[in-house]
Amino acid sequence: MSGSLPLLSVANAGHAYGATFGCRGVDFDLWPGEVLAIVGESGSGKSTLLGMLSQRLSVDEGEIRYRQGKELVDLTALSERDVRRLWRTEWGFVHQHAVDGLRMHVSAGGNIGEPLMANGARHFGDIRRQAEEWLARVEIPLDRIDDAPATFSGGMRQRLQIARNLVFGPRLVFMDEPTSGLDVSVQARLLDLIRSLVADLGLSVIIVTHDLAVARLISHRTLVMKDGAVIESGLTDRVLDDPQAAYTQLLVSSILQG
Amino acid sequence: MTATSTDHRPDAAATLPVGAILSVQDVDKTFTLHLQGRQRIPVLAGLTFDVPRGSCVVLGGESGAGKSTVMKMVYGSYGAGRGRILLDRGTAERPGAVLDLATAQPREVLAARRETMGYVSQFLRAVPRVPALDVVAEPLVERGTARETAREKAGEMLERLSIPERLWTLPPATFSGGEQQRVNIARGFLAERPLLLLDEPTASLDARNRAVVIDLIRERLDRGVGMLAIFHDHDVRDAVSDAIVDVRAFTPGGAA
Repeated sequence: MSGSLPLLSVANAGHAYGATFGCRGVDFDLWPGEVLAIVGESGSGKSTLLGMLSQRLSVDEGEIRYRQGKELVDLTALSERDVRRLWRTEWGFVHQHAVDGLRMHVSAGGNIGEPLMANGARHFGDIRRQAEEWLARVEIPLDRIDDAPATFSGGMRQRLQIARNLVFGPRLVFMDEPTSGLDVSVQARLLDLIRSLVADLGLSVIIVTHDLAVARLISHRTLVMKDGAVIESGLTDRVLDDPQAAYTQLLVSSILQG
Repeated sequence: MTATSTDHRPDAAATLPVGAILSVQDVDKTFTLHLQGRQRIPVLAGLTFDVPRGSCVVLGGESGAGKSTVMKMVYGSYGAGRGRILLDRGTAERPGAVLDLATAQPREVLAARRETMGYVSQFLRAVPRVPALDVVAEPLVERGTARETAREKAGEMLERLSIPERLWTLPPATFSGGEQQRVNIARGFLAERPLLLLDEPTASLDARNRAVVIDLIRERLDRGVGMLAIFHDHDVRDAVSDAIVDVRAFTPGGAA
């Protein structure tokens, strides 16, 4: 345990929009197999943090290190080519809106096969077989394999986006509000699917959500953000059951008990 | 202002009493209610007791005395304000390892839950679509048991607790209260962890199933499992308890 390294190590990191910081002073380690939830209201900086962690926004302060083999490397020191390689082979990103993460007019099978081809798969039969396997895993009927996601329901599109992001065996997956905007019953099914896939594949996940119930259901640890800063962090059940910060108490007390 | 404790105490090993799986030492718990004008509510002060291996220690005191708070602090769902909660994490590979749950890092608590302490609560926090058999098998799978083996063992346990086989493939969310509780018990007892926390596990069981649970508890105690329990039910408590810790003795300003 003591000899192992975290997958991602964030120290005092911040991103600035001009003169103001969107998030600042963020510190945490993410370990393999861990699901970390980032919660907070809109404008709290959680999406900025996710953008910075996933290298879509610059790290203007502090550092973010990522495990490559037996060492932690500074992400900002990687070339654009290295970052592209990470996106192809080790990182996934599930967007809130499937439109941002899918090719809407390419078939479902094509959406799943594309990342495999980007990783060098050439045998059509193999790619098709894997696409079928993943459709089954995300509970999309096989007879929809040649249909474009533009014809799918919201829940189905989101499941397809998940398949596209997991098919190549990433180590780290970023998720930005993957269940918001869906009907409650569709949401429960999707969360459940994410939860079991993450456990089966041993993935590390960083998920941004404004919904504390989502954090409770699938995350091990939670960061609470307010005004661009992490104001509380720890085991998810501890943060939710015994919140220390005034703001976290307010968030928790605002949940409808179900 | 981050509310995580990062303080780690390597000297903890020195003070875990011989034969104890858990040692709670001088623990305080105060809730600060920021939304009610920062009102501070001291719930426990100087809480001290041990759970020896192979013993069942029962928390006593009327409801509201803080029994569940004690359980949640040990499990890590509540933070401890002061003091130590020492858990024996020793194994063949790391003899003598002790974790102070009061100051442990989240992933240390998670590892302790996976390997060392199980929690059987009154209510099943049901995951919407997972079948009962997998709910019960999950802690074994998490520890690396092959899924099929884990399912077999889960089935045996469910059978013992008289959950009919036709229910095994259904999600427990639709079960009756008593059935859910038995699923919960099966899950908690299946993975053999050295410490079990039992929070009113028999609250809604009939006499026959209560007897099965008493047998399960005795079997585990014989194998050296330590237990910390809250029992509403006097029959069960009288049948398995080795010691009673009266939580009221540690209630600030209460009947000490």
